[in-house]
Amino acid sequence: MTATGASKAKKGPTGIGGFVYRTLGSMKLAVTLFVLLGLLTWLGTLAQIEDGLWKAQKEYFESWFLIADLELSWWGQPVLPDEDGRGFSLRIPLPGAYPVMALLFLNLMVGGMLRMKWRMRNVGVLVVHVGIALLLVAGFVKMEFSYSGSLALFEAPAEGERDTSRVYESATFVSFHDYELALTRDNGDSVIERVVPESELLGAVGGTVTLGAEDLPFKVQVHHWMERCVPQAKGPMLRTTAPIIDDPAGGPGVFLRQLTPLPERSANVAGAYVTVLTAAGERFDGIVYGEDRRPYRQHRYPFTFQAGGERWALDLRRVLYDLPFHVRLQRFEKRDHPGTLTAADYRSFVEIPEEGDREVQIYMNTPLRKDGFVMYQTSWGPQNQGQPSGGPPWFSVFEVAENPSDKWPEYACWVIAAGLMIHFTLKLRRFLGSSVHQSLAQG
Amino acid sequence: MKALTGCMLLLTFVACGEPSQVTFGAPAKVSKDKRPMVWEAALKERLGIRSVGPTKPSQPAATSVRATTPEGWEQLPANPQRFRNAVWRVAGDPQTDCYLTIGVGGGVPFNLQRWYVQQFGKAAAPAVDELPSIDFCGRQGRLVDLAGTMQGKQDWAAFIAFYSEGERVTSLKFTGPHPVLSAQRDAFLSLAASIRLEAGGAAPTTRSAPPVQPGQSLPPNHAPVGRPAQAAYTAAAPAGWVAKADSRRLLHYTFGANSEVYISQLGGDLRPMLDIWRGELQFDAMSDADFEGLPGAAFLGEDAVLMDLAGDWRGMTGAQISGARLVVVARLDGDAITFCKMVGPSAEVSAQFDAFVQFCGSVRKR
Repeated sequence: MTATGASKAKKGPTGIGGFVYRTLGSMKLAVTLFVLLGLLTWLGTLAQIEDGLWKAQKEYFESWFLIADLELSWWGQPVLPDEDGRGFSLRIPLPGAYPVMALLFLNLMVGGMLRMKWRMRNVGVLVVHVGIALLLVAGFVKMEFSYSGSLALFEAPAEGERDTSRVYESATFVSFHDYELALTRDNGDSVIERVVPESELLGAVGGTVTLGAEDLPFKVQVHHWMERCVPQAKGPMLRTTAPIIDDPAGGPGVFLRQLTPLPERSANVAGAYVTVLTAAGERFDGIVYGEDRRPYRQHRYPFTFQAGGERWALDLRRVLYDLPFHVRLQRFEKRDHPGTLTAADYRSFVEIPEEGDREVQIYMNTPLRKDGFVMYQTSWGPQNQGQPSGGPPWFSVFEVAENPSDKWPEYACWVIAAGLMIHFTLKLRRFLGSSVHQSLAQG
Repeated sequence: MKALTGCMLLLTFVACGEPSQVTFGAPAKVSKDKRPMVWEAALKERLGIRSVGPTKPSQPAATSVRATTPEGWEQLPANPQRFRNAVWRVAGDPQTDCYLTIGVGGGVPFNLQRWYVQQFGKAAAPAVDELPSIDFCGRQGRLVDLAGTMQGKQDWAAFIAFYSEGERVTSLKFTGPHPVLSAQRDAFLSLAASIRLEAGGAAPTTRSAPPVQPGQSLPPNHAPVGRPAQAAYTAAAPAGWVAKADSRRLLHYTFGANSEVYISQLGGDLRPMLDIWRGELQFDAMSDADFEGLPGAAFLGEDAVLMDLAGDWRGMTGAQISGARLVVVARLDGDAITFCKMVGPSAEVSAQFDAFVQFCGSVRKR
């Protein structure tokens, strides 16, 4: 894939620069990097079992360095088990896939492009290397510049039969994993919104983060941040160290019960306490809870307060992304395996109101592409453990992604295919013109 | 040099510490259509609080049922906690069972699948329009007529009269040996036609879902049950308890001649669930005072409620123990109720009571 060997390499720079140049372009480095990638893929896949997809992806594929745990077993039996029955764990230091792929890109550029002799016989290989490099660049652009989330819509019934609380049409979608705290001011027919990303609120896990702005008549303190929690009424049998928020409507107060975070980050619902301190000396205490109830509830239920003669709301929510168009689910079709309730095929028929209600069918591997966004069919509901639970009416779940390099992998595959085609054609031509072929043809 | 060191230290502190002062992002004007929100929601509505009990009525008042019992049939006590709002059978024939269930969720297609495919092992359920129309509860209903092997009982049959309101299905289900049911078809249809429902309190649609064990097909209106198979628990089992092989529970032990202890999870609210377990021993639902007076116990390292009952027990699977004792320790764990239940003959359970409480205190998630 890279240089065809030191003996055949072009003469290059000497000294330290030359050493770096030769090392970066060497076949040994390429092999080492591929072995590391294989190892990371294997260990990362194993780690998904316990850590979930999100954490394993962050730890193994988006990091610079990691220490992988490999639990030893022999024919399914743990080796040297501890008191919990877990086998002895090897701790293996490894570079993350991020630097490995960056090095692989350099290796391809130096070894496969610069050090390789630019001759007609190598043109196919050079084109293949361009294609592989394009694949790596596409991955980098996706990781650094794309975002994605989920959009769930109920089948839209006839106009008069709609449940006004449900989501049938939307021009927003929400992040799978990340939260933001939104401060909203009621502005009549619109709202004025300011957001703070979750990453800036991490100090609220064990302390207090104070939020403010010069033109705001109050400050907001965020504290008792919990990655996974559930609001609960303070019943007589419950003890808690978390603050209790009084219910103005009477009855027991409410608190956030902290729960052990699940490996699948998207299954965790975060929450926090907020204290608003106004310039007038007023104090408001409340809870913000990041549960997303869509598509059953299109409305958010923020913590609200009055300050400076205006109405404000604080809402902890999954990061909200706006689409430049609306999507409405007209109908959802599900075909089950015979004699079961397990879906064999499911697809959605959506309409884009901005395009005169153009109907588009979305199903497996056939997404909707529009205005730089790609909308994939991912799931449906209501269901429980793969079985229908409560429908019809059904709702459909889409993944929506904005990815500048969305089509680049496809282009890269075409480039690689073209390179291989050129290379094998040249090989065939050489073979047909060779003395070996002629002697074979003559018997 | 000192200044440089000072600067480095300062930078180090700034870099290491979490930010405690953060400025809100720039304001942006957004249409209210894109940010629908309820500004004045009550606290518990806003947070979607799952009640722990006292704020909810102990049990919705039952819808009253009027019906003419066919000649040769007898009416038995209703058991709304087990979704049997009225119960009949052919007089003196315990193999027959006829009961009315009001407003169970899931919609018609799912219930048809359940009756045809899951219970009678048919390849598929027919469309509702293909079923004959009958008079049921003073309105047009449909009739399901099934015969064959029902959950292991051969030559069995079922008549099911039903109608739906949205996703809620009200049904009258009559099961028993095929020859008996064939002879009683007209009686069943006359009973179905005679039934009248009158609202006597809270609508049945507000009821909690029935209990379902993990892995079992969920009733359609059931709250989501977690993924217990992935949540391993550890506990110190007392001597004499034997781990049950091939159990789908989180932890499962047996002891004595006919006693068991298991940990499991269910969806729903704590108090209705406790009432359903009370129903297994024919106890009525708890009053607010009963619920608040329940003793506590340690479970999963936190507080939980303990309920201790004695009587004749009949479990959801049909298992029965006369002179039983049931002890359950339960707590809300996110969306699910995690519980440890011990049931068996009273003498066996009583001997293990202290061990059970100690066992619950030792249970931990891995």
